[in-house]
Amino acid sequence: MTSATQKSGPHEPVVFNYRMWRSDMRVQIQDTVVAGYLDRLCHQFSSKESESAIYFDVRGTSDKRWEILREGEVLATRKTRLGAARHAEWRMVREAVRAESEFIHWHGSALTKQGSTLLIPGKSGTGKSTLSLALAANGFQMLGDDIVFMDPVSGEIHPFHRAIRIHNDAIERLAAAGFPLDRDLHVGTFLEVEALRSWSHRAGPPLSHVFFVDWDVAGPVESIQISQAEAALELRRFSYTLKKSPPNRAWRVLQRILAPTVAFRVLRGQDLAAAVRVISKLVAK
Amino acid sequence: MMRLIQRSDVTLFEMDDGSGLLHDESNGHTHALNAEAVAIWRSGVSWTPAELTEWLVANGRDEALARAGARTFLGQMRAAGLFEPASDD
Repeated sequence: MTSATQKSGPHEPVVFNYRMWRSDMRVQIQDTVVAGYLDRLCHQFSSKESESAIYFDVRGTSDKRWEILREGEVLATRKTRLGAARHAEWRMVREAVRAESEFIHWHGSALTKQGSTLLIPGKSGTGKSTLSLALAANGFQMLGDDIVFMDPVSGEIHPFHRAIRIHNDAIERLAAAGFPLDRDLHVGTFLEVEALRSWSHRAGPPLSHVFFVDWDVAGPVESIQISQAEAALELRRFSYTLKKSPPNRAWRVLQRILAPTVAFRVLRGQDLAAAVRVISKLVAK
Repeated sequence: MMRLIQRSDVTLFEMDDGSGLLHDESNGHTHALNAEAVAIWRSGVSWTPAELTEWLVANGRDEALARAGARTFLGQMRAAGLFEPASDD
């Protein structure tokens, strides 16, 4: 699939226009392979050209590296084409997050099922995407992975369909949990959004469940309900928006958001299917 | 017996499930309290361990557990800087 909006000749750069959440981006890429990677990661955000777009460039250097630039300023250099595409995607997503002041941004995954919306906050590389994909294979619809946007008044989580970053061993583990993935939809350690059919395209109902997952525990899956105060204290760490807010304001927002929720700490061993069963049961209660 | 007084410049945010957050603006620290600790915080600005034991017993705790609980609670709150010794003690 391609979403190139301009391509004026064999030696001309490829230009993509994206709308990520509520920010417009325009990215110009010299190399067609880098452009191909970026398009696979971002085509779901394709949009019309916008005058207010933030400009990015990805270009080769004389020492066979790749530079990622924002408005003419070099942000980073990468050794590989795939690394350059991934970094450009991340920079644009970060820009979309930082431009947002009305919605709360969470670092985590969000899914919805039958009137419930659950949030799994977590840092990168902690396995939340693998768990979320397994939940999505078991009746949940994915609202967002890694970056989640929430209306702070209604508590609704809005869909943001970013490509999903997964562990190298995730395909085998997901297959064992009953969710085979198409390897053709891999872009390095990312999965194109088409790998997952159960995306939600509408905002989920207000947040109802928060799961803090401890990934390092070797043993059976266990869940422990925690107080909303404990959840608030922990949850603030996973929001760029709330981390930079004055504490008194952040706690008031969390008071409101968490009022209709129950929060759990889930101790997860290696049994992905068991973790899915435990979470599904808690959400169904 | 040591009397402890709540810091008056600490803000309590009560959550819907009865738990709460105490935010200390002087150092930026925030502490999570369970529902019983929030009830204690709201019930009086100063406590001795004996008074708190009595309050816990009146609220359904076994006396031996209440005595231990009162000492633990006041010790932890003092260590966190949320209660201070009364000046006339």
